[in-house]
Order: sequence, then structure tokens, then C-alpha cells
Amino acid sequence: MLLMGIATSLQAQDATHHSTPAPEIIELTDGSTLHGKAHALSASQGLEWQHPLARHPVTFDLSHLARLRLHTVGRIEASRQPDCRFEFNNGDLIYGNLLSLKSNAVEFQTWFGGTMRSDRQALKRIAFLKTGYKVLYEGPNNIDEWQLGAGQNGWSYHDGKLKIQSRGVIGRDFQLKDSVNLTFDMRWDRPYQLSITLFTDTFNRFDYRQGSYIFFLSPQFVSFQRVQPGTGVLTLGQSRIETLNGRSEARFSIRAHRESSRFIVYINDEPAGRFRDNRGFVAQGKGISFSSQLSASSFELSNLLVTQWDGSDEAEGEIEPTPENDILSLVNQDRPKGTVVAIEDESIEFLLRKERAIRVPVERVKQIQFNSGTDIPSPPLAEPKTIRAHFAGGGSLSFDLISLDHDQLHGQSSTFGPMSFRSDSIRQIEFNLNHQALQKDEAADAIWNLQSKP
Amino acid sequence: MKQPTPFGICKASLSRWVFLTAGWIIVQSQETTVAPPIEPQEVTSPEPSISEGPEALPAAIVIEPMSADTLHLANGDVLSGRLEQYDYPGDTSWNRSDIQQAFAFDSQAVHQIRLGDRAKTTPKLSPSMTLQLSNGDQLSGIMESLDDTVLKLNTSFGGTLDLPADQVQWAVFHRQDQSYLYEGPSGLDGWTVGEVNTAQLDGGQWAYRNGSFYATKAASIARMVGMPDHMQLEFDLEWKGSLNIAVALYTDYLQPVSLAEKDSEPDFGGFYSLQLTSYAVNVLMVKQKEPLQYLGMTQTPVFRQGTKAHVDVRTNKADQSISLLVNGKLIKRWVDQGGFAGQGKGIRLVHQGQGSVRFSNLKIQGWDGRFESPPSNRVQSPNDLMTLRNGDKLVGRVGSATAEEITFMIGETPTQTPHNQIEKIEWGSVTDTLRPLRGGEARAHLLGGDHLTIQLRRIEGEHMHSSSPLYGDTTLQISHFERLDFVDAPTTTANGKQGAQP
Repeated sequence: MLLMGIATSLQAQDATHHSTPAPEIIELTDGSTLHGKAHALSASQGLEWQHPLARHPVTFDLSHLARLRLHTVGRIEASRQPDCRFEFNNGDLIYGNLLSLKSNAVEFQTWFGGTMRSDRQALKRIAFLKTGYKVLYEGPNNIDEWQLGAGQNGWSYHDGKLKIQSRGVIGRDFQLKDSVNLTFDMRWDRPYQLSITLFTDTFNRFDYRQGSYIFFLSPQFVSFQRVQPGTGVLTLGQSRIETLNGRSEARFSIRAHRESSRFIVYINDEPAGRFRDNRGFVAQGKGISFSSQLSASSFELSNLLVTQWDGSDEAEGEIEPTPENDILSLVNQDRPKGTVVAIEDESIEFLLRKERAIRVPVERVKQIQFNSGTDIPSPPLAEPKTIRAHFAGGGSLSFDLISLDHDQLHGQSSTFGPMSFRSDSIRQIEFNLNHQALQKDEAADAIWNLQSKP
Repeated sequence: MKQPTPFGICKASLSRWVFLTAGWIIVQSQETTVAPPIEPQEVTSPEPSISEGPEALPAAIVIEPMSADTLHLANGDVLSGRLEQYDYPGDTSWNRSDIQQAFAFDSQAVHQIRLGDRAKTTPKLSPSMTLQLSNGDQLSGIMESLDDTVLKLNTSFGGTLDLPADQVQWAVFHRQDQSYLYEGPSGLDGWTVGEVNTAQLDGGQWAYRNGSFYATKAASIARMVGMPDHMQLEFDLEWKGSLNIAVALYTDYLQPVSLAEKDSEPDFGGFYSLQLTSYAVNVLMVKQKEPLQYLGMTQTPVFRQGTKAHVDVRTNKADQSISLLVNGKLIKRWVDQGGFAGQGKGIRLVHQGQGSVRFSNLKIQGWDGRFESPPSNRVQSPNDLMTLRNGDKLVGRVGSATAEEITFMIGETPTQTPHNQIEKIEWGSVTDTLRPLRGGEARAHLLGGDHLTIQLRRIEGEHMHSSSPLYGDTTLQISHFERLDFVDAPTTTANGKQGAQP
């Protein structure tokens, strides 16, 4: 009964959630999917799983586990909002607060793991988030937290996904203010047309009486419109999408920033459209609505994450790492090369071109791209015990599993050494990290069956 | 080995056409350059086309058959593994290689079991007939005898079954003088798996499992089957999401072809690409150094209204025609006015990159150029109707039968007719007794498309122990079955109904 109660303890943190804990779900590498409850998990003993329709628990070894979805709803709880995004060479990504950086080590604070330290060489990039990293919503968690359009409405909720097979509108208040970064995974069976209205207060229909911005998404196009009372609807731009041909799933990131009146759509981490409202930001609402425009469409949205956005465009600011130099990306667009000696007291000690020592206030730096070194990091081993934990609010870490109990997830990382996290901070755990490649088409029937699940 | 001719297809009312047989397929990518029809007041995205891929692998890729069973539970969960035992009432024991102790599920929570490959422990018979009972069951076998009360049918899956004669609605007699040029699939042997791999498409491969090919991504598979000048090609198709496949007919090239770059592909002979999508059907004539020629697109809702279909293609080189029937209904007949372009004898099945497709019961045989006649006997008729292969129709009563001939009473006059001269028999006054499945009942689907309804008491090893008011207590060989349904699917075919007519 080690994990019993994880979801329950988290429910209390968000009054909008159901009183009934959502079931946990395991996905296996062959496409099998089971609801139930994890009783125990460890590298040595495997996963003890109680299925609601089974007579007794069954213990899986880790060899065929793909994912454990915990449906935790923990929120970032910290006295200080994360203001840095730490990216590591092994793919790990963490939001936290930088405590110090020295020639051989970096130390930072996280809400889920307390103070963490790593070898400096493991660090790929630090992005300094001007307005901090504030999570406004993470879900979906149930249908009740959403407002459905009147009349016939095809939206439904199941297992962390909003699904629709016809037309319909759904939305909710996210307490948006000056910016938003809406990210979600989308999977579709048929051509779709999804309109997303940002900064609206009307969630169950289109409302042209208040200012808002509408993104129209289809497999071929993204178009962007401004809705302004008295002025009507004006298309501000359109981009053709070439990357979704033949695809049936993608991750979208839709961003808006009041101060700069900038709007960006990312698809699978690549920019798909950049727009600007030259008349200034006209919308005042606090919510977002999703509308399916086709009666014959069939798609689902999952892993919705709504955060504030500091207006930075990582694709524009992308810097090619070099083997020897660290590169600062400054707010004035300069990109000096050299060596970051240390970061302390909101100041970066920087050896410019490795010759001249200067100090740069952190507030003047958007990001630091650390040198890639001459040793190419090897990819994570494909051992079953190597897992990737995805945290509530974003970020993930890969490490070797030791055990998971009702309070803590214990592991061993080559980057961070021994570590323990609050188990209620973990949304899901991935196992057998290369199973996607292994699976390919060798389990077509399993994929087929997987697609049958509700 | 002689194989039967599938029974009637082009019935006037094929609303219940499903039982059936045969199929196969082909493919082509980028052959779909036609945007689907648009729903009124809706903007529908064009169907992405798939490239057959200039990077086709030069050699066949071998994929091992998959043998796992798949369990579908009442809560929607799906679990691969191996069925160890089923008891009703009782538990279903389910095992996997990665668990220490088998799952035990209440059998009432089991909605479906899809069965993996199993070694056949009994020989496969060449059935002489397929018949339908009043409850919708369809089964094939060799008729041993018939009297006033019992029709004895020898089957591959259950030995000799005693069927109540008054519950038989119709029987279609298979031709014994014509064999299939291809019947399967039964594996990947003989097939050439091509890889569709382009910048725009996430390529995959067809995978084989227990009588079916599956593809969830753009994929190509092909083989030479000796397509005759007059051909009937049938297959069953099941899909999820959008349907977008192409079947290359009379191809001499087993690798996928990029139509956009066909002239720079390795040399290949002319072929026809039959394109089936959720919105329309089309045939494309493909030759190198010549423009692509569309023989004519027809919009049809048949693939949009369901997730399964029986596809039947008839070709006739003499009149340069290709006809498409779906669920027994003629959808379109194309004529190539420029002469028949097909230069090879092979087929190629191409998944065009959208949706998931299951392809089974592929059968290819010669065709006599004649479309089957519609059923002509009314259910309420007191008389039976026997249709002979020469077109004669006899009205009367079926008397008795032996393994060789039927005694048919015309008035008081008995006539004996050998099985091989009979096309079909439709019994009068046998009304439908179709009803939903009840607790413990299963609709057991055989490889090849037949199905029967049984009260399934136990599955253990290779045997299914069942009872039925129609079949009595029986022991069936599980290796001949493809799946067991314990609840009725909401919609099972493109026309939404089960069953078929002769």
C-alpha cells in the first residue's frame, strides 16, 4: 500500500479537483494499458499493481513498463517562484532557482527536491526567466473544471484527455493577465480544425463583443485573428504548416505577450508562426476556449500546461554551443564568448574571450549557453531501471530508480548523485526510455489495440 | 487444393453482407492527389498524400509473426499476453512473461479476446458450403447429410456439428472446380515488405498477426499472385481514423513507387492504383514516361459510415474494366479507354500514412465475368428456392441430402442434384432470431470470416467447451478462431449490421 493515497493527498491542494482520486494508469511497451493502483515500485522488486477488475495484485518486472501515470495534481510550492530553466546535456530539464555556480559545480533550489547540485559539465544551458515561471494550470483533471458550450457538445474527458469527435466548445478561466504560454499534446484521427481563443471571458461560444485573439489550427495551416469590439474580426497572419503531413500527433505551444504584443505558435518545439498586433494588445479576458469546427473531426488534447510567458523566443535566441566557450545571451542582443567563472549574488563573473574578467548582472542576461566540451555525452542507458520522472508544472529528470514510496521517490543519478523527491510532485514516470524505438512496428497489433482504448 | 468460390456478392440488398471472405490489397503513395469532398459549411483539410518513398529498401524485411493474445476489459483496458484459462462463471486467467503470477479477472469483466497465432492441431478442411442460421451465425464445412431434422456439417474447428435443419436460412455451395490463386495472408512469406520513408511521412511496415496485416503508418507490402485476365479479388478491411490506402493491381514491381517521381524510379510496368479513402474511391493508371491518368473519382460515404468493409474488385482485361464492390454493392465500374495498362501479375498494398488499417481474408481467383444474382426468395415464402449454376431456379422443398447430392421436391416429384451443380439454396419460412449477446455467451469469430454464437463455459489449452441450443455441447479448436466477442459491438460494419445474404 505504499503509494496508496498519493493522489488523495494532492487533491487537497486544488479545490477544483474531484474528491475521488483518479486511477493511476500503467502503459506497457507492447501497447497494453491498465488502470489501477501501484502498491509498490522498486528496481529490485518491480511494480506491484492492483487492477480494479483483478482478483489480486500482480507484480510486473520493469522490462516491459513504458509509463506510470500518477495523475498527481501537486503544484509548485515554493517561497520563491522558479526563475531559471536548467537544461542538461542528458536531456534533463528543471525549473528552479540558481543558488550558485562555480567552476566545477552548480547548485540550485527546486520545489520538489530541495537543494540540488550537479557537476558543472553536465549543464547545457541556463535561461533566466524575467518574470519567473508561474504555472497557472496543469491538466486536464476532470470535465467539471471546464465550462462546456450549450447544446450538443462533443467534448468529453477520459484518463487525462479532453476528447471530441464532432463540433463543440470548451473553456475555462485561467486567471490570465499579461502573458500566457499554452502547451498541449494533440492527437488526431481525422483532419481537424481547432480554434483557440485566448484572453476571453466567454468559454462556451464565440463572443465577438469582447476583445480576444483566436488561433485557428489545422494540419496544414495556422492562422491568427484579432477580435475587437466595434472593429470586428481581423486576420493578422497565417502560416502554412508542412511538418504535420502524415502525422497524427504533435505538441503545440501557443504564446501571447501583452507588453510586446507578440504571439508565437510552436509545433513540436519548432516555431510554426510568429505574429504581432501592431495596434497593441486589445484583449482583457482571463480564460481560454477550445472549439472544434468540424463535425467529422476526431482528436484529443492532453498534458495541458498553462504558464506565464516572459516573451522570450528560444528559437530566436538559440545559440550553437561551442566546445570551448561559454556564451552569454544578453538582453541587448550581444552574445559575448568566454568563460563563466562563477555566479553569485546576482552577478556573473565572466572571463571575456578568456582574457578579461568582467562582471555582468544577472538581470542583463537572458541565458547562458555553456561550452559543450570535447567529450560527447553518451545517451542514457536503456536499462529498465533507468527512468525519467516528469514533475508537476514541467521539467523532467532521468536517473536510476531505487524505489518509490508514499512520500519519496529515491534514485541515483550520474548527474546529481543520490536523490529523493516528493512523490506527490511527479505526474508520470517513464521506463525503458528507448522503448519507442524498440517498438516501432513490431507491435502493430498492440498499437492498434492501444488506439482502441477509450 | 480446390477452394470454394465465395458465395453471392452483388445482392440487391446487401445490408447484412459481412460474412465473407477474401481480400487483399495494394498500394501506392502520393497517389492521392484528390482532396476529399467537403461537408457543407465546413472546411475540410485535404487528405495528406503519402509518398511511396524513394528510399524503399531493396530487400524484403522479415517481421516475425506476433503471437500474443489481447484481452479487452469492461473498463476499456487492453492487455496483451496469453489466455491461460477461461471459465464462466468464474475467472479468466491471463499471463505474461513479465509478471510473476497470472492475472485473474472475473470473466464477466471480459469484453473481447483477440487470439494470437496457434498451431493448428486439426487439419483444415476445404469447405463445400457456407450456411447461415436463423440467429445470424455463419459457418462453413462439408455437408455430410441432411434429413428432416438435422444437417450434419463437418467443420475444421469443431468436427461434425448437428445443426437443426429448420434453422438454416440459406446455404451457398462453393465451387470445387476452381482454386484460389491466393488465399491469406498466413504470414509474410512470399511478400515483399517495402519501406515508405520520406521527409513528409513517418514510414512504417505492415505487420502480420493471426491472419491479418496491420499498418499504423505509411507502409507497403506486395507479392506476385499471378493475376489472371479476369479476376475477382476480395478482402476485409478494418480501419481506425481516416482510411487512405491504395491497392496496385497488375503490377510487376514489388517496391513502393513515388508517383511524383515515377519516371526516375527503377523501371516498372504499367499498373492500376485503386485508391480507397474515407471520402472517395478512384483508379489511377500508372505508367512510366506517360502522364498519370485518373479513370474517375467517385465520392462515396461507404468508408465514412463505418470502420469495416468487405471489398470486392473485379477486373476484365477484355473490356478493360475494373469494378469495385463494397459490402456487396457495386460502387463504381471504371473502363480504361486507352487499353488495359496492367503489365504485371502482382499486387501491392500501400497504407498512405493516415489512420490504422487491418487487412485480412484476401482471396484472389479467376472470374467468369458474371456478377452474382440478388436473393430472390422471400423469407415468408413457404417454399424453398434452389438456384443452380446454370441459372435455373427450382421452387419446392429441400428433402434430404447426402455428401454428394441434394434431393429437392418439386411438388411430389423428387429431383437429385449434385452439390457441384448448385449455387445456393434459400429456405422459406425461417425467420430471424437475432438478439444481443447475453451473459456468458460469446460470438466466436473464425479465421476467414465465419462466426457462431455459443455459451462458452471453459477455455483450456486448445479447446473451447461450449453449449448452444443450435449446436448442443461442443468442443471447438481455439486455433481456428480469430477472436471472441462477449459483448456486441455498437457498429460492426460500414452498413452497421451483421450478417449477410446469399
